[in-house]
Amino acid sequence: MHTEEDMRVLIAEDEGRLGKFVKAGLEESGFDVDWVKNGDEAFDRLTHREYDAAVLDIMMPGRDGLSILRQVRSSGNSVPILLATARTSLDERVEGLHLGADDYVSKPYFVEELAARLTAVVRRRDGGATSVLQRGDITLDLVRHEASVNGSTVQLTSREFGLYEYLMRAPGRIRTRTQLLEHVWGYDFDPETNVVDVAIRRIRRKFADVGGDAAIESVRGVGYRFQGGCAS
Amino acid sequence: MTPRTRIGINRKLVRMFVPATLLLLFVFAALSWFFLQDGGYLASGSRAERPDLSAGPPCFEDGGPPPLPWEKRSQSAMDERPNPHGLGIRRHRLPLVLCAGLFGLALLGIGSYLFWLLVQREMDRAAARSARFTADVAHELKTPLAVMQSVVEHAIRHSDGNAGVERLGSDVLDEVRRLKSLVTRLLLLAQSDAGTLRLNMEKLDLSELVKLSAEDLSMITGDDPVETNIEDGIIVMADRSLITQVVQNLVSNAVKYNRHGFTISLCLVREGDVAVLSVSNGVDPVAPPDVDRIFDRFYRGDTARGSKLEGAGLGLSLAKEVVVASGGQISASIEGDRIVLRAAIPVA
Repeated sequence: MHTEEDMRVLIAEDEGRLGKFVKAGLEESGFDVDWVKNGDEAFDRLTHREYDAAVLDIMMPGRDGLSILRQVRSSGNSVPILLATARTSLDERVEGLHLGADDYVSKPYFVEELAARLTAVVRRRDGGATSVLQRGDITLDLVRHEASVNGSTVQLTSREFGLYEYLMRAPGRIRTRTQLLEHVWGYDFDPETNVVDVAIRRIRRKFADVGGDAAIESVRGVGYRFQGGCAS
Repeated sequence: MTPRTRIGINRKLVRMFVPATLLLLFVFAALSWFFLQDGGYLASGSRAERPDLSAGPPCFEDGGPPPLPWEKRSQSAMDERPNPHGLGIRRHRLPLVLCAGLFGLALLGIGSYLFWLLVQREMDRAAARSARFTADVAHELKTPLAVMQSVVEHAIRHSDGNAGVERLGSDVLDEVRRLKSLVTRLLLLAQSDAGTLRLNMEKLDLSELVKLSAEDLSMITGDDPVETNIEDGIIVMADRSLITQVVQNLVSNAVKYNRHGFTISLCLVREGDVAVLSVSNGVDPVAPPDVDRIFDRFYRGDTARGSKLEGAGLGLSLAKEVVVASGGQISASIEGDRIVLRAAIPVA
C-alpha cells in the first residue's frame, strides 16, 4: 500500500509557471515529483522508469497526452495515468477514458485536488482502497458512507460526506470555500448563497447531536480545516 | 450521439439524387433507343415518307435528323409536307424534346449532387475550423487562469496564518472559479452553435441525480420552503456531466429568482416514455419574467430578490441546448404567481 510519502509521480506540463507550482505543491503534499515539459520526454521517462502514477497534459509539444497514453497502454504498462486538459472538449475526456486513463482533471485544477485524485487512483490500482478513515475518535466508513464519533453513528448525506471526507484526508490544511465547492459540487455550481457554510453547519450539528465534535475548524473569510497537524 | 442529425437528414435526401438521376438516365436511354432506332417509331412513321429533305445537308442515310427551328427552309418544307398518319410535325419532335428534358433533368440532378457535396465539404471544414477555434480559445483562456489559481493556492498554503493573505487569496480563487465557469459555458454554447457539441451518452439514474440537487436546494434556499417529489428509478440516456449542469442550473435559477417566502418545488416524474423534471418558484404576478426570452443568452429577468444577482444569464440557455441535444424539450410557463420550467428527457 502506498502512502503519499513514497509515491513517485511524473508530471508532463509544458506551461512553465504552472508546472513549477504543481511540482512544488505536490512535493509539499509528500509526493516525489519528476516534471517534464514535452510529450516525447514524458514517453521516454514512462517507458524507462518506474512511476506510481503520471499526470499527462493532453496538449503539449511533442507527443500529446492521448498518444502517449495509447502507446503506454499498448505496451502493456498499466501505470495509473491522469489526463489534464485545458479544453472543455468532452471528446478528449471520453477518448482518454476509453484508452485506459484512470481519471482526468480539467484545467485549471487545484494542486490539492490533483493530489487527492492521484492518491485515489493509486489506492484503487493497489486494490487496497481503505474502507475506513480514522482520525482521533472519529471514524469514517467509506463504504457505508457513515461517520462515527466515540462509537456513535452520525448519518451524513452525500454532499456532507463528500465534504467531510475531503477535509478529513488532509488534517491541519486549509481548504478554501472554492476548493470545497469545486471538489464536492463542481465549479459550475454557483448557488451564490454559501452552500459550503450551510453544509459544514449541518455536519457540526449532526456530530453535536450525538455528543461529539466534528473537529472542523473555521478559518475566517477563507474556509475550513480538519483539526490536527499531520496525517495519521 | 452527435448533433449532426440535421445535416445527416439532408445528406439522406441528397443521396436520393443518385438513384433518381440514374433512373432518369435510364429512362432517357430507353426512350432514345425506342425513338431513334432503325425502323423505330420515327423511321417507320412519317420520316419514311418525308418529302424532299435533301435541300438540307445530308447527314443521315435516311435524310438526316429533323430540322431545327432555325433552319427556316427545312421548317417550311416540313410544314407543307403531307402527313398520312395525321401526326403534326410538332408531335414528331415531342419525343426528342422529352428526351432532351429528361437529359437536362439528369444533368441537373448530377449537378445538384456535386454542388451539395461541395457545400457539405465546406460545412465540414467550417465546423472543424470552429471547433478548433473554440478549443484554442479555451486553451488560451484557461492556461492563465490555471497559473493564477496555482499561484494563489501556493500563497495561501504559505501564508503562515496571515489572515489577510488567506482572505484575499480566497476571494481571488472564488473569482477564478467564476471565470472558469463562464469560459466553460461560453465554449459549450459556441460548440453547440457550431454543431460540434458532442455528448457522451450513457445510462444514468436521473432520480439519484435530482435527489442530490434536492439536497442542495434544501441547503441554499435559506428560509424559503421547499417541496420535492422525486420518483425513484428513472433511468435516462444522457451526458452525465452536462445533465448535472442542467439540473443544477434549473435549481439555482429557481432559488435566485424566487419571490421571497414562496415555495420552491422540484419534481421528477415519468410520463410515458419521457422523464419530466419540473422546477418552479414564485414570481411577481404583476411583472412576471418574459417566458419567451428566458432561454435567451444573457437574459436576466427582474428579480424578486433585488439587483445583487450574479451570473451572466447563460445557465438556462445552456440547459436548453443540452436538453435539446439529448433529444428532449424544455419549456417555461407562468402559472398564476409561479413560473414553471419543465425539461422532458427521453427515458432509456
